[in-house]
Amino acid sequence: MSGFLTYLVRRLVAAVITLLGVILVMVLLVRALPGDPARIIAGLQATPEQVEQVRLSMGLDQPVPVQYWRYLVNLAHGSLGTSARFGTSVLSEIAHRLPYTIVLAVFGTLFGAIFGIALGVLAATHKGRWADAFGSMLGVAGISMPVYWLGILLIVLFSVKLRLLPIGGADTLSSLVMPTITLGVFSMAVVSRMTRSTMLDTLDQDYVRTVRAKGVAEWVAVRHALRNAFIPILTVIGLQFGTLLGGAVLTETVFSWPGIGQLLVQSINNRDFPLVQGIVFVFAAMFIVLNIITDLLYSVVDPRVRLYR
Amino acid sequence: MSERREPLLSIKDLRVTFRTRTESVRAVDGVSFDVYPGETLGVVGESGSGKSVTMLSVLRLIPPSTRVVASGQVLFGGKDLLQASKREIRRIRGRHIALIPQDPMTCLDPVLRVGRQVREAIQAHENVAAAEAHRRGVQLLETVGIPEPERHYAQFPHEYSGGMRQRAMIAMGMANAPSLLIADEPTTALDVTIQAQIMDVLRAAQRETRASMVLISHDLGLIAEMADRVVVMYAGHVVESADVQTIFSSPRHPYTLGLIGSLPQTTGNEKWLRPIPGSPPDLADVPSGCPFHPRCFLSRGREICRVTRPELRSLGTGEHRSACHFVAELEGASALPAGELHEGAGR
Repeated sequence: MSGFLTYLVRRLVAAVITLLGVILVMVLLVRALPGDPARIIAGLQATPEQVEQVRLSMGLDQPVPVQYWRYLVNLAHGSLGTSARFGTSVLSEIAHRLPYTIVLAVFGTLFGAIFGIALGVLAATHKGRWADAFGSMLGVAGISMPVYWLGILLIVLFSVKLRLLPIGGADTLSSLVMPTITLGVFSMAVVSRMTRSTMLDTLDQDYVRTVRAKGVAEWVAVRHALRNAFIPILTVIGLQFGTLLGGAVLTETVFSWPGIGQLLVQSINNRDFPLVQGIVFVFAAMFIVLNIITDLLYSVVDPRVRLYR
Repeated sequence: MSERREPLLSIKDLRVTFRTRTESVRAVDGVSFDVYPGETLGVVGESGSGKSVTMLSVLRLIPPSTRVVASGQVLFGGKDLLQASKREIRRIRGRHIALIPQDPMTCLDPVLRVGRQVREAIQAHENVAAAEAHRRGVQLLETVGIPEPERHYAQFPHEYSGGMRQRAMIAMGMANAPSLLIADEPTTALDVTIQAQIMDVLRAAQRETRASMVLISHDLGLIAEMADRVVVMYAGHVVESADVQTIFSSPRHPYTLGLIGSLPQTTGNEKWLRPIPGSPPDLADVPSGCPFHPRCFLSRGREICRVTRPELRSLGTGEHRSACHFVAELEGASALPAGELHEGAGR
């Protein structure tokens, strides 16, 4: 167990170093945005004095290294700053919106994983036949369709024509259906292709032949092959979940889903630096944590994987 | 001795062809032989001679991703296994005919505990409660000589040594007391010191289940020790078959002679191994006529060897059969000492 703790501590230290880098890049990039943030926040009618006042209060008059340092000091005190636009704490803004995004990403991942694995298995076990062709067609479509385009198509079909689902918002459970599909289709495509190629490999392995030689039903042999294909599939699903948090930016905008992605787009338009930085920071942190969790899951899926010694 | 008995398994004119996009490879080309109840049949040949493919075809276990065409008959219990439905072949696999594969390192599912895989072999054919299957699984592991069977039952394959894995494979093979065991090079992947132990386990398993065994091997020493009868294969053909004494004392095919001659001698003062000249043919491009003629010391460029494929003919004495045009010239030949039979080989 102590080996496990050492491993975890090592991973977390590495995560903190990565996050320091992320914050640096973030601070630099946000300042590269065109337009004077102090002017935008103060409003077009504001006098030059008022604009200067805003600049001072936001610390924008300081050199970038100083701003970076201040940000880190604040972070160490558990604060992500104050939203320039709403005047509220960035942390509470994010805490308010984040659950929506997580729900959407979880559902999108589940959608992608379940349908992706099912499609991939179907394609691999019917290689060269119509089910395989159908699967790769869906795969190509899923990868190449832009999120907003698919979202709008779904809205036209289910909301405008069929009047089955609400256009947007997050009022009922049915509001979740279209955003989930929109978000999940891409990862479904990625997961199904990975599942297909890995399964084609494992289905031909000697141990699957052993299983068949026992006289079990073919689906039992397929189950063995799938279990052995799980490490690469799990990797893809883990990475996809992170991507989905980012993908939520577009999906949430299309469906007015009150998540953190929508908030990010708004705060970029508002040049709300503290809020933008806070959201990007949270995205990065979640991505890193997800990677650690995925690595931990490897050892659950495959008994030969040793994370530490 | 086996002339009057009904064969357990009868392979008749089996042909197996693999198709790739560009070529078609005939791995097995008109193979016929019988396996009788209780006997051990050795199938000998170099790699690529079609011995494994023949036996995998019996269970229709050629990887499903390859495009394979099989013709002929494989009769088992009055049924042609090549024509059997998927359901029928599943009932036979593991229950009546079990496979003990070549490489135990790759033949166990790496992510499942060994016990679970043994249990699966039992439960594939019998509706047994988990606890009972567990008890029998542990017992099987004990039978094949795995120490502390209860502990090893719960371990993963990577925690086993190669010899233990092969023991576990044998345990799975004998789980349903099949009437035929197909052992495909069961010791090739193992250390020499382990080989003898595994063969003992295999023999004990055969005795316990009173099964027939088809032992596929290129190891003539092993065949001499284990087999009752021997089938020699070359380039997808059976070139000679006989009981084990006859094969070793008076082989009647130049290839068999070459195989026996290439064994290292422990008694004589030979300095060199005597290999068969040349190498096994590419199955996509098998020589015309007798497939062995380019490497044959007997052919000496005679035309008939190049043109006509020799039939497997009975030599009149019991079960002895050979496929050589000039089998008469081998009259009185004995395999040992092998040296003299090779033209230009050796010193």
